[in-house]
Amino acid sequence: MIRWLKITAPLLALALAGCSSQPEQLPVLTKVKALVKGMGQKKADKATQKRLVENLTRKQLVGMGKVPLILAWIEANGNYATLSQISSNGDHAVFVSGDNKTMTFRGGVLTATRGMGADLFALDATGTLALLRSRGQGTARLQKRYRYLNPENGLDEIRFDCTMVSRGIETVTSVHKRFRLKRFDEKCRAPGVEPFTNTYWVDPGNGIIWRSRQWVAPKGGYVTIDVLIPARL
Amino acid sequence: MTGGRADVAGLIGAVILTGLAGAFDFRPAQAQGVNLFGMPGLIDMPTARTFPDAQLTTTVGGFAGTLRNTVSFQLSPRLTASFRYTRLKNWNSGGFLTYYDRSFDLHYQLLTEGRFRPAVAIGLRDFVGTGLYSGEYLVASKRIGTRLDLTGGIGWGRLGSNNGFRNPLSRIFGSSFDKRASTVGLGGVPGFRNWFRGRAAFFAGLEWQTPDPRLSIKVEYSSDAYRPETVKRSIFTRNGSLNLAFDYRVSQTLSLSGYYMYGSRFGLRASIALNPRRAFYAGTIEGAPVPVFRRPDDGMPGAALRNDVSWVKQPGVGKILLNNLQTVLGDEGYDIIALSVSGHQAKVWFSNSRYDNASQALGRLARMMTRIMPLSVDNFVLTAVEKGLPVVSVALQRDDLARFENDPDGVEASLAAARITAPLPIDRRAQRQAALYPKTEWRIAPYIRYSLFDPANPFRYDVGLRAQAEVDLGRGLSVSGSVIKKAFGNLNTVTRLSNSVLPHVRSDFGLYDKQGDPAIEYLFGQYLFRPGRNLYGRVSLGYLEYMYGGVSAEVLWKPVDSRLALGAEVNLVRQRDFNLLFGFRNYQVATGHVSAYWAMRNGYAVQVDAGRYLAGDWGATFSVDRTFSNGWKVGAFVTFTNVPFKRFGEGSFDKGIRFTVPLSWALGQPSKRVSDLVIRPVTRDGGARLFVQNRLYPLVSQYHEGRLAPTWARFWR
Repeated sequence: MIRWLKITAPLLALALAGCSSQPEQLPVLTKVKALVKGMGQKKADKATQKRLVENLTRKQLVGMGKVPLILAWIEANGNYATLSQISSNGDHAVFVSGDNKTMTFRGGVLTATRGMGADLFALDATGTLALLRSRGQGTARLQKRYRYLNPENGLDEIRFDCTMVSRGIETVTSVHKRFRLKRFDEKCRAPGVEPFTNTYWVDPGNGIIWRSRQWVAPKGGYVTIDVLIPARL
Repeated sequence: MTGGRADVAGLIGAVILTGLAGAFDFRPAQAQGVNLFGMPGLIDMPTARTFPDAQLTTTVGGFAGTLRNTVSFQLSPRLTASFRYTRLKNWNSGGFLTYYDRSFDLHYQLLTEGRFRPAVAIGLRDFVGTGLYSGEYLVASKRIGTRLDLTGGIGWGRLGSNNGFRNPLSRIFGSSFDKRASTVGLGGVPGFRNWFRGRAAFFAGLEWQTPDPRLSIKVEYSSDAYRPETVKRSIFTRNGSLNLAFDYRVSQTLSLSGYYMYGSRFGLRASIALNPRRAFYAGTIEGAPVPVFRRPDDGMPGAALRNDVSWVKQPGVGKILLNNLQTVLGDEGYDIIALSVSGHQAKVWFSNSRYDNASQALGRLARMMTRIMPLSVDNFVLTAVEKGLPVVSVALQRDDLARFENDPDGVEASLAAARITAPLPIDRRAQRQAALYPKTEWRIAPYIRYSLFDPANPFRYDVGLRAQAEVDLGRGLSVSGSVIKKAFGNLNTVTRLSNSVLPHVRSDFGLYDKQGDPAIEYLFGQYLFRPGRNLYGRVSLGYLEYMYGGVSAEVLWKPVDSRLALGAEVNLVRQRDFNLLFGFRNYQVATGHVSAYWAMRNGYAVQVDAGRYLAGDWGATFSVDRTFSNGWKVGAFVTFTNVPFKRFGEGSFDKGIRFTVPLSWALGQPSKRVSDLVIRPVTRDGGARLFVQNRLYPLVSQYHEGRLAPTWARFWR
């Protein structure tokens, strides 16, 4: 029933919207397409997608080229995407997916997303990076500012109080490759927001975050990132 | 009885979309507490609560053949206003079998709730209508624990009619407060001589939140005796004063109620609550913008190119760069109208048909320019052009874009660094994109035209097909037209002829609806131009609107950083034939206004238009809108002219409420389409203005600092 309504409403809106000399202007159409596409993708399909991605070997993926490449799993909708680097600006690298959504990283820490719906507009990663780079032991406290575009086109800022906990060395399999990585848990809380924990698995040698699970937005949930070819700056 | 000119199809689409999509939003809903009058309340009685700020609540509900349709708006955190259209079946008097009544309410929260202090509100019900529901109240509400909300109050008028007592106010202000006149007349005039007069009565009630957060139970003791319905007429029997209800909140958007009223009748209510300040979709889903290209820093390979301006001498370089920019941005709805480049500066004039937010349109262009412009270009000047009229220029330092792109405080920093100025005219040396013109845009879509509030049939409509086209000839010149062909509907069944003693400048709408099929809605040529630095001009010639054709000229003064704007408009128009083809009737008039616009910092916008109206009457229109930076607008207007209330007829003077809902809000992605809806309780001939498209203020001000600055975050989206 819900699915039926979900598809009918935009169709109705589409019928009412008519056609024009600039059909690409009709966002309703895009919406319908997206919904139709989303509807076909049942849970089983997503599982298939997951298996397909997991069966890809690192070699196959990396063989596609020398462009820096990551694999992202968006937990909120269960989608996998490979993103390749399209730009760098100082110590920030921008990765783009095939459907033109971007993620920006600073030293492996997600600092912005665009086009994902509940986007992370901007994030101050300075404190996190300093702690990860020091690769120290024990627990450290830090403050983190997350910024979001609100419905009135202004910015909402959430200030989180976080603790970074060093968890020691773990063996991690990231896309068929075994790594010995140092794990850091960054636990954050702020009044009125569900607390969350970012996890970073850092290469003790070169400092590359090969795998991470990072929180994006209150309605955006987590994204898990596996680095196939590290960013080039 | 307003002839609907609004793009209702779009609005209905948006509302259906919003209503349904909202139905899936199963977050715990905040108590809406809507009563049968569509206001904060219990069942028939008010509470001292308010709706969430900016909430627009549409309520349909009733019992015993009475149906109340209310639109209410939370104008400010404390002030709620509403317009209501009520149908009372079995009225059987005054020549009406079924009676229709319009009413306006105001509700103001005097005190917010404290730990021990209850919330207190004061309200006026039906304070400008014919007075059927007229009543005033003072009410207090207090939450006890987490589940129980208690309310008690005192009412006057209808709300003081059950178990009433002598007005306590007459002890303070004298016995004049004991008298309350019956107020049925032409309507439209505030009945302030009656406010808080006459007998008073107490009412009380409670709302109990069940363990299911969506369900609550309400009980109230009503102070309304329903005398017009039960004593003077026998619409229903009032067997008691207790009313019972359950309230089920399906979602944040939709709530439903069932009632047992006055010991005899069952009732129902449904409310849809939309809020411009609440997103419909989580975030925005349009594709990501192109990232900034950062010029090589000193010492890096290629850094020397930053000082190399030899490319300027390359033949046709302006044209190449313009074409490149057009190629990469054309898909996003950009037209690059002109480009003027020198060694260290690039000036571009552009229009955009996709991004309803001007900051976003500027930001995407600026980022693309970092990828297209030669490395020596240090600064960009972006001039937005709307319908051929340059409306704003924004100057940006190229390296600022790279510096602020990933700065957590980049929004504030980039806004501070941008120079927003009056629009630069297109350079004589600039390379123009000649191939753009003539540019034709067309659209064929279904339409709904409607007419509300005719007692013989309160909702008439026509459905058909509308074809619109606009040919942009460049340099501010354009020709626009629209033709409609009805498919089915009943607008032509209007039988009530205008009884207006003024020239029939609007009240013959029924005759237009009868004879105008197919109809040319409008067909006119337009020239937009810049007479001076902070000045904008418009001349329109042709069939300007549904009922009038002629010539219209306007000039607007609007400095880019000013919250004040001034304008003047003169029109010489003639009334069109009822068949809505090319002919005219005999009525001709010179009409025009001087206007002042004031955009307040908190989002309220005030407009005053003083001048001569279509019927030759002189006066002024006062409008207040609450505007939201995502494009929503909710407002009201009144017009007073030298036409006396009696000569004006029903309603006494022209007034109404209006809404603008951007499609982008409903869809979560950019679109320049909006739905405009104007509701006039009565359409008559006094205080009637000409409709002209592309009046300058909305066209120009959307790009000015007052609108750009609050939405600058979108520059980076």
